[in-house]
Amino acid sequence: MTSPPARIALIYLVFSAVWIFFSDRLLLMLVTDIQHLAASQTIKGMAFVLTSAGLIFWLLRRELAATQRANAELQLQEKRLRKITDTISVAVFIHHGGRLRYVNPQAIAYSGYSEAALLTMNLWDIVHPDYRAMVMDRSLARQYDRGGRARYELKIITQSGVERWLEITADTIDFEDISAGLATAYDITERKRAEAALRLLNQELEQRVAHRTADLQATNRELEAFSYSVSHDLRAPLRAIQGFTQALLEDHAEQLDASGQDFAQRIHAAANRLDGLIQDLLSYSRLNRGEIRLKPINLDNVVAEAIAQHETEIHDTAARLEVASNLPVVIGHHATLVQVISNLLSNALKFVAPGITPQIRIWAEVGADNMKLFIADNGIGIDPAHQQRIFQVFERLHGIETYPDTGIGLAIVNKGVIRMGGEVAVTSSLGQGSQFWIRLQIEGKQ
Amino acid sequence: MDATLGTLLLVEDDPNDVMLFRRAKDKAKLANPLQVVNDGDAAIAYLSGQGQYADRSVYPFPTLMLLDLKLPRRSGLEVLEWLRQQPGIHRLPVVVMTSSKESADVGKAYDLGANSYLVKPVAFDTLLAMVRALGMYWLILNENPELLT
Repeated sequence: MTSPPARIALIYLVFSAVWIFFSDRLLLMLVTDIQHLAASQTIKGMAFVLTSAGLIFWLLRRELAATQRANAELQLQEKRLRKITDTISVAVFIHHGGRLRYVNPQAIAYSGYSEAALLTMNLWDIVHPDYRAMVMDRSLARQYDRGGRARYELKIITQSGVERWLEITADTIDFEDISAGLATAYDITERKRAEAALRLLNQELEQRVAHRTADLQATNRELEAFSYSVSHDLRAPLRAIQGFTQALLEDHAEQLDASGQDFAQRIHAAANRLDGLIQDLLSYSRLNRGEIRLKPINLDNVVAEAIAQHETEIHDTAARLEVASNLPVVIGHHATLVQVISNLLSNALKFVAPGITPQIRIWAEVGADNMKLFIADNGIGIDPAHQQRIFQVFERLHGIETYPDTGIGLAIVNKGVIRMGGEVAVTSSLGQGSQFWIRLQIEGKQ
Repeated sequence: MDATLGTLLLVEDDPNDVMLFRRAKDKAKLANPLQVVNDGDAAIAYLSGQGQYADRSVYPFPTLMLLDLKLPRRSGLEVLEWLRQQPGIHRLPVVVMTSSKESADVGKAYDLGANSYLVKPVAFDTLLAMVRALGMYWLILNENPELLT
């Protein structure tokens, strides 16, 4: 777009050229009489002067009005902008190489200095000594290199000496025809305080957790010491009771009458039962605290080992076992897995109605990343009402006379399987036998 | 006493366990002579032939030591540690025979040089089977080291 004077000159030029080109022809067409020609020329000249004066007047007035309109618009915009910077809750600092050139009311409010004082200061004069060097470097750098937008957090010190946290966004702006630094800031003191409080709270919490953990570890050590002394001290008198009752029965049977022998046998059996109970309790507590390292375990071997542990019972009950071959390799812990399967087998052999030959089937179903090992029996079964609680410690469903059991066997199964990252469940109904399964991860796909 | 059979040294503080062991040993028809001491200090005195144990014709140096871990005075583990540092006799086969099944105890015993680790069973018949196996393995099958006593 051309400037107004050039535009006026151009319009005048075009008008004059058109006038010169057409006015003589028009005159010659209209005035045929040669005598009137000179007078007509004068009139034509005056008409030109008048018309062009009018044209210039009109053009100048039009341009002036446009300029005035533009000025008014500019003033309005500046007023709007000032209104925004005056009322915005963000502080605005404009500086040239650090020297403050403009501050908005919020900047004045944050710093506590007067506007006049601020405009004689450098930006870093109000910054906390910790950040002063950084602000100085950045402000000076911005004077030579326009730089991009940057955001950081810093502390300032107000005129009254109070520390205040600000989040700063720094950028470059054209101000009074020079490239200046623009820093906008808002107060994050509250947030910083809350963060500090949170950090403190976290530290306290961590400390408290550490204390509790230490307490728990101490309790755990006490429990370990307890179970150690149970394993050692409690079993010693038990060995004496068991051993000497047996000696009594073996060496002095003829001195005892029938009821005397019965009593001795009862003591013997009770001692055995108490030993089983202590053993199971210790196994359970070992499972709870012992470290279990999981690795690939061949289930074929584990099942064979568990069956070997029950050779006598299997022989005595003439139980029929059907074990699938090529059981999968699972992720587990050998000793724990043997104990789990041994306990399940023990139940399957034990809980059978009188006169029935135990029949036990063992097989596996392999899924995408885990497998289920099934152990099914033809035993007395478990009432669905009890199926939830049989995996808890000390749940007994049978009278001691018929089916001796310490009641911890399935709790050991449950705890062991959980510690190997698996799951155990049972489906059963009274008189229909039970079907237990344990789910464990299989190798390579964990 | 049969002089050709090696002596068994039982380190055990519980008199009941001692009696039961004797009974099991008799039932297992293990003819080796048995010596019993009741605490760790006595075990060390016996092994080093000091004090009342100076006469080796009465208290012969054992071929095998059966060691309980929980003992008055010096513990079984301390006795074991001491033994393995004694020149001349440090190779004496030691079978730990204790109540504890704790893996920490088992590990410690092997670390200190136990040759075997047995847990005392409660059922006497199991003890009997264990003593039979013990006699068969350690006193008959096993080739014992020469000791400079």
